[in-house]
Amino acid sequence: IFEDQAGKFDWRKQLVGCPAKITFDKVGSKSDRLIVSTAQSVLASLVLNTGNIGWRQIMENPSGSTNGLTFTKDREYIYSISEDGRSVRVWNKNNGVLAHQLPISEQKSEIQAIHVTNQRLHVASGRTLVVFRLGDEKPVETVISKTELTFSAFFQQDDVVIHVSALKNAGKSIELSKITEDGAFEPLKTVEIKDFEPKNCHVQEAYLSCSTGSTLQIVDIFRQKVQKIQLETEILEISGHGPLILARGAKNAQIVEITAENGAQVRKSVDIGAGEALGITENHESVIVTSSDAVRVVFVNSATHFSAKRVKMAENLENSAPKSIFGRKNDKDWEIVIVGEDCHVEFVTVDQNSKSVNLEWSREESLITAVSVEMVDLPLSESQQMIEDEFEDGESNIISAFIRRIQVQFGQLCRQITRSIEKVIYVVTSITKNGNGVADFINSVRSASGSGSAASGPFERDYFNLRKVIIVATSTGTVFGIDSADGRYLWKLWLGEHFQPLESPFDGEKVPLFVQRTTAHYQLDGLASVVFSNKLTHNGVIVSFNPMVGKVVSRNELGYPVKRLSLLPVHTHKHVYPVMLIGKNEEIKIFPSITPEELSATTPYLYLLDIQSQTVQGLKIDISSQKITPVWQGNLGLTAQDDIIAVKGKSFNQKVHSQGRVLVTREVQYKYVNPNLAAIASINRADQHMTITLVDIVTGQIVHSASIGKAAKPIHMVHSENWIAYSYWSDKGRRTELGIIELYEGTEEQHTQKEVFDSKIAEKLPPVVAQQSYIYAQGVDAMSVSETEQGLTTRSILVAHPSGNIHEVSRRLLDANRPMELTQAMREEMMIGYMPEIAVATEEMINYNQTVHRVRGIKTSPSGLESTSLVLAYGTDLFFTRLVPSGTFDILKDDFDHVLISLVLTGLVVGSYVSKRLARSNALASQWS
Amino acid sequence: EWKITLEYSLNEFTNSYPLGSIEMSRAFDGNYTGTFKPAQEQNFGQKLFEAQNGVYSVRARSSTQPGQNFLTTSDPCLFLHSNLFHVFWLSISQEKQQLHTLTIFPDTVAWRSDTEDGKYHSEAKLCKDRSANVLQSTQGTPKGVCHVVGESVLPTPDTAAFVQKMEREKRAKQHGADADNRSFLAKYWMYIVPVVLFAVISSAVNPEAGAEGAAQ
Repeated sequence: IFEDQAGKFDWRKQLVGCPAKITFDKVGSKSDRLIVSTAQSVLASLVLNTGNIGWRQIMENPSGSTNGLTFTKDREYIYSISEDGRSVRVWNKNNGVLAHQLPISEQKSEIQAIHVTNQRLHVASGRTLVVFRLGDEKPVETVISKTELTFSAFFQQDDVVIHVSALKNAGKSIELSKITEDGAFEPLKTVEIKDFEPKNCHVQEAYLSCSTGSTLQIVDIFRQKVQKIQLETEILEISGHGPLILARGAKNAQIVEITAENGAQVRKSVDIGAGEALGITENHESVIVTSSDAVRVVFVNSATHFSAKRVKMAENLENSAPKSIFGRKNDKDWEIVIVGEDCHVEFVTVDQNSKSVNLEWSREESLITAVSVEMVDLPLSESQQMIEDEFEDGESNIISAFIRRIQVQFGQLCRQITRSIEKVIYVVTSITKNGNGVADFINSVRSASGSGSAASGPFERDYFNLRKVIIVATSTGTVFGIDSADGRYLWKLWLGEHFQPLESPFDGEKVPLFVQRTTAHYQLDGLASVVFSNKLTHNGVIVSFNPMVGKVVSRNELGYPVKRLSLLPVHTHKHVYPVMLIGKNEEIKIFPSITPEELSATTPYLYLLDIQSQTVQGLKIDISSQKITPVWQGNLGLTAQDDIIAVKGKSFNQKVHSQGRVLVTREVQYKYVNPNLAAIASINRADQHMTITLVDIVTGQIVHSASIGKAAKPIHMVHSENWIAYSYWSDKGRRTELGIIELYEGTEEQHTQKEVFDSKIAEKLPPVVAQQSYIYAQGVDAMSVSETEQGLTTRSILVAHPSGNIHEVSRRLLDANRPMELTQAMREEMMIGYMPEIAVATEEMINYNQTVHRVRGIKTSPSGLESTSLVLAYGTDLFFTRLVPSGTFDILKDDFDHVLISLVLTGLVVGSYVSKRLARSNALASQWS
Repeated sequence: EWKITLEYSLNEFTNSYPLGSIEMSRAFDGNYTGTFKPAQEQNFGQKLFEAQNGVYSVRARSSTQPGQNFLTTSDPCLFLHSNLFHVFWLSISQEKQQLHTLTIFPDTVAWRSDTEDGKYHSEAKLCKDRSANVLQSTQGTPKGVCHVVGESVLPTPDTAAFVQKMEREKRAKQHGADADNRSFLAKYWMYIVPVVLFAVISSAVNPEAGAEGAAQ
């Protein structure tokens, strides 16, 4: 990629994740910041004015809980407990640079607490309590408890710090220890709390509040006193700040205030609905209640309260109910951060006088949980539709065809004139608005020509079909439509508060996304569906929507949980490919239903692979009678010790351009292209063998089975055409290795030139298998393969690194037939000799210096150009780019010099006329002489 | 050295009949070969013909794996077209003497006719449309051969051979053994031929230019 192409065809979205803790902060002379700790182990600083990421630090993935990192802060640093509670990392608050990393414990723990005072840092993780002096690397004091803890917290009042802990088998009491000036631990007395349960407790200022049913117990830590308050309703949640405690019930929240003279007493009751969120202001005595469409501010010490309406950001960006609120008060208004159930983060300001909610910025953080991605073509443009209309009707006579053609030509001419007029108007408007001379005029002309083809144009297909709508389904319950030109959000769907992803035995959470009808039929809208589970009933739900505008077409809930689902290879008379959903007891539903006339004779059945613990079955599903029959059964060599890592079939719209491969001896080696082939990768826990098995799903025939010892996760696999590429960690070599398996039918004498492949008729000979393996010097997070429309372009394997790069490995490098000794004929064929290592060159990174962290998957899609693939990598970040594995052989180069060629051509034409005239004059003069 | 017992059914195992057995024996190199011993049944062809549009299922049990069932299913029409010849595709583990899957195929060598009018058309729905030439006999015993596939080994990167190759090339380069022994003309004929052609063409054009000069 050239320097001037950076950012021209690609875009990147950096995400921080679903916020778990947010605090407002002021950093020196800079503007205010939000310190965010998210469920995906990201610690970030957001600029309060714009919502952009100031800095971001991505920690290791959490092994257990998703409550975000435990952190605290002082004037200069942020102190976070990392590595599942084994260390403390100290970050500079200004720029996010790591200042210190302090080891705490060797054991992981989720019971964590951290506190910082003027001179000391107190950390509790698991059974270990450590005190550091600020700036030192060695602890002042370390105490290791003999018993496991179930609760841990620090409290500070003036200069006194008290650690509160609850032992695992101690029943109902908490233990208090005072930490003295020199860091020693001085035990205080034990406080008894009736029915103590840490998850029902809340820590704030000097108080620990616990709830049991409708009883609220407030422990004053520094006086070691317990006070009980009986409330009217059952307490579901406790929150609070300072001397105020909010006890939320099913329909209202009681505000409890603690004073020195009167103790704790109920001050006020606030009505709260089910879909509303409750928060308290950090620096003011007011309570904020937010629903989907309104913000209410309730003053604690007076009868004042007011309500303000929330505005939607856009018409087709649908928001969910709010989940948590973080707010503070300024001189004139309230600043509120609202986090929705769908991880939508909004920063609003609420003005008391005008009673208005101003939306400052918003962020969509649920994209960090993207699990399914599809790319859909845009609708045909108006001129393309006219051309389709022109050739559609085949029965008309010559005169009406001629008239329609004239109409189409006239329409194109009008369209061109309209576009030119729009450009002229744009130029004139720019001049009258910003006119400052010739330079501005030239710039406006350039931007006019640029804006005509950019995102501001009409929402239709461009000439090379490079612009698409990217549909992303997340495991948070949102579906996005993203413009692939610049990453802009076109629409957003919220699938409801009862959303739950489906479970897959191999890949974790799944939200399957199917494109049922593309925009190729321009009279009909596109149709896509997403399938998930109802959280309450566990039944399957399928939601169909228009992928262009995000409008929900239908929403159906099944009567059973979904066990497996598939897109049928036949379509209805409205060109919709139905989705088949199968339950645990072999219930079958097909959305939309398909009639027997629409089923052709060759595709009444669908064959599925059913993998149990030690038995693998092939199932045959009769689509018309909706009956499931097992057709083959075996164990595929799987034992109880085998874990299945990946199952990769073939996508049913994949193109294989060439039937064979020309060898050096001028023979043709034909590819074994079995559309029913599936590759299964498994790891044996006992002897650490990785086995790759290639199975024909229709018959259960094992085409090839091979294993390797001393292999470990992570294992990734790509299945395309007649080859399987896989990556694994080799414990023997202590490195990542890439492997390739290629299947061929044999050379020309053995090829029977069949038109139709039939799984039930075996070949006379088994396929010829070529295998090879290469050293790869980087880790592998995700693997994918490039796709083009006809499959003519060389395929590239895309490998995402943990360091944030996406490497493009050509298929010519990852080849099972690279020879060890190159002969002259092989050199003429430009074959690459075998080297055991695949070099990782920085110029082959398709995302140059735009790092994409923690890539979970890479989606590739063909574009209208045969040379170009479209690539979207999703994980913690999103990155979209174009890919040209074989170079841009079907368009002119970007640096094609049109001007020079035009000048040379003009010069030659003019020169030929001048030379002709001079030659004629010379001939005439010579005749006179 | 171990035995696989086969039985078949034409109505999803409502009724099942013995098909025979496969005896696995080890060769010298550790691989296994299978020998199919059919059951003594004379009406196999008639049963297949009566169920020609149905389902032909074979269930297997291995003597080394008690309690495990192996199932495979195919079309009866294929075997009527192949004169009741089977290919049993067995996938095994050589070390553990275990069967992984069993798949039955028609033996295409024994197909009745492979000419254009006698081809088997897989896309048709009924047996008489798929093959115009199926076995009509009321008798026939099952016949078959076995194809045994074992587990192979995935390769590791071949660093040792590559290092040896590099050392060999280095040593050969030092001794000059691999120098190109072709003659000068054989090596550089593709550069000499255009020059010769150009000279010949230029000398052919020169007399006309001389003649034109003389006329002037």
